[in-house]
Amino acid sequence: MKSVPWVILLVGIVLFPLTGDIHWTRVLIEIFMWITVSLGFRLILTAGQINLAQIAFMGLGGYAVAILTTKLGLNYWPSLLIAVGSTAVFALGIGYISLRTKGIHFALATFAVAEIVRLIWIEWKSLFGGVGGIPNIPPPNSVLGIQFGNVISYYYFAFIMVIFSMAVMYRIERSRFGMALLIFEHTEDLAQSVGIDCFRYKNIAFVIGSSFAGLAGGFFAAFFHYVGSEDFTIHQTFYVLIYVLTGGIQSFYGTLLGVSSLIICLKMIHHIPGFNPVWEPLFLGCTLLAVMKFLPGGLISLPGRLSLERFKLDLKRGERIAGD
Amino acid sequence: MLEIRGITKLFGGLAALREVSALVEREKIFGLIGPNGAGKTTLFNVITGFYRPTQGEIIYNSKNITGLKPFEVATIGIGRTYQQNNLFYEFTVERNIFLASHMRPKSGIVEDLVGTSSAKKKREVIEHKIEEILTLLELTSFRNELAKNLPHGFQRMLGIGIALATEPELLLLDEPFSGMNAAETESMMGHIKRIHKEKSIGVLLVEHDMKAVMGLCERIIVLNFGEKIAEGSAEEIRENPIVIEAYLGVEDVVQY
Repeated sequence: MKSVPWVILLVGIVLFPLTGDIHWTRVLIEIFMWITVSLGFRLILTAGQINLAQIAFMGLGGYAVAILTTKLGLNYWPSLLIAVGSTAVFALGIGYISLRTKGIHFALATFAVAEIVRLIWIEWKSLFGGVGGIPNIPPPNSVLGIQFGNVISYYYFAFIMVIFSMAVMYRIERSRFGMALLIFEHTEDLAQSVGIDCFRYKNIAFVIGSSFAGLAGGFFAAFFHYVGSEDFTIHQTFYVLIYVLTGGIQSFYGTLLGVSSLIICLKMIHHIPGFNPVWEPLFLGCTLLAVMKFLPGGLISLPGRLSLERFKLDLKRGERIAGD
Repeated sequence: MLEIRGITKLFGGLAALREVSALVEREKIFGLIGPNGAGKTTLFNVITGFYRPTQGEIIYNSKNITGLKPFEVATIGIGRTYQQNNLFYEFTVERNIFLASHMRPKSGIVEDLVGTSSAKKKREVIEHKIEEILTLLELTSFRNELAKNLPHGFQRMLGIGIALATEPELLLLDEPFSGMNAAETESMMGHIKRIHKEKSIGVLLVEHDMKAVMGLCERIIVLNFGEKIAEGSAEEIRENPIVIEAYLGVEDVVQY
């Protein structure tokens, strides 16, 4: 019976587009997309590595689809496949070099990668379209009789994408590979001593995580029919970082929670009269500070925390009674 | 089974080890002693691949293993513990052994992610192994305890459990008795003896507790300032004037 609310939630999400609310359907699509990116980001984060190039990998996926479909006239689906593959290959190269470093050094190395990639998009005008980006990306070809055009079709595309990512993360979290990742941050020496090839594992995690970004980027290109360097700036990586930390990293469910709740909050902020874009980072920054201070385990740790507090309260009451 | 051939390790101009050679056999418990800074832990780190020796070779089962990475050294059957407790602190005792069983039995990442029946069987094998190790080290009552919450003596024991989970043929123990009281030392000695005899695992241990070393080790190697100054049985070492001199604290050695 415990699963009943979850089933209702799932059915609600599956049927949501039928309400005809275009605005919130689009919001949900965005949530699905960012969940995919954030899950990938979280995977390598569990090994203690902050990958600030995640957004660049998303952009790579997007640009790859854009170039393949507009310049080479390729069909969308093979383009998406190639986009994810090339993101993975690129990530393998970057990871092979940068995963030798840890902590702040890795974060800075990937930050540099993100900036270099972004500058290449801007400067290499003939291929990447410069500041203007690449417009007029055609919608995906129809599959199984489903035409891509309206929001609903994209909704289910994104939904399948996010279910796929979650399934992969679910399996990883329960695999020996996924559990081994968790010990690298603080006990890499010991992990080596029990025969785990930490470097290889981190590379695999990095490639899987980055491919998720590439996949989401490929979706982005189809959904917005446009990619540009402004869509994949380092700010977006920090947004992802804040989503993930707010949700809590112990479990990938935390990421789902963090991304959905914060994006919904951001969209609500847009409706406040006198809205200024500056409010977005301001809100996220304050959220991050509050979470770090009051709920270091993130939203996912909230139920546990509440029951702990209740237990403490009971204990106090018990003492008082015993004292009387 | 393990041959150390003329190992020299320089840190800058400083020789932490100078032409150290030794032969470690499976049949005996080997002790490695020496004053602080003699190079004992450095030698461990060279054997296990954490340091690359400046000169010399490490031969294991007639295979040259010099320059292998630490995880590769673990894979060929050399397990180690650390001088400071080094555990997967945030995990339960059971999970510690589970994580340490990573390569035996080994499952491929894909097989593991998909959850094939062979991957499931391997998990069962690990469950058995966890029981066996926890029983052997008398840690069963702590199985669901987080490693960081264990008392010191049991943390040391779990360190050995982690090394055992890699199913080593040779176990390198770095000060297994450090910070232990007499009773704990006694019980740890019993465990090490049992591991050596019953599982026929070779043991090389670094230790300062002379009583334990003399009581446990059948052969002792003495290092001083990075050089091997003596090797022999406990009796021989106890009476060796060079060793006594090296230890300055002459009484320490004579007493036992």
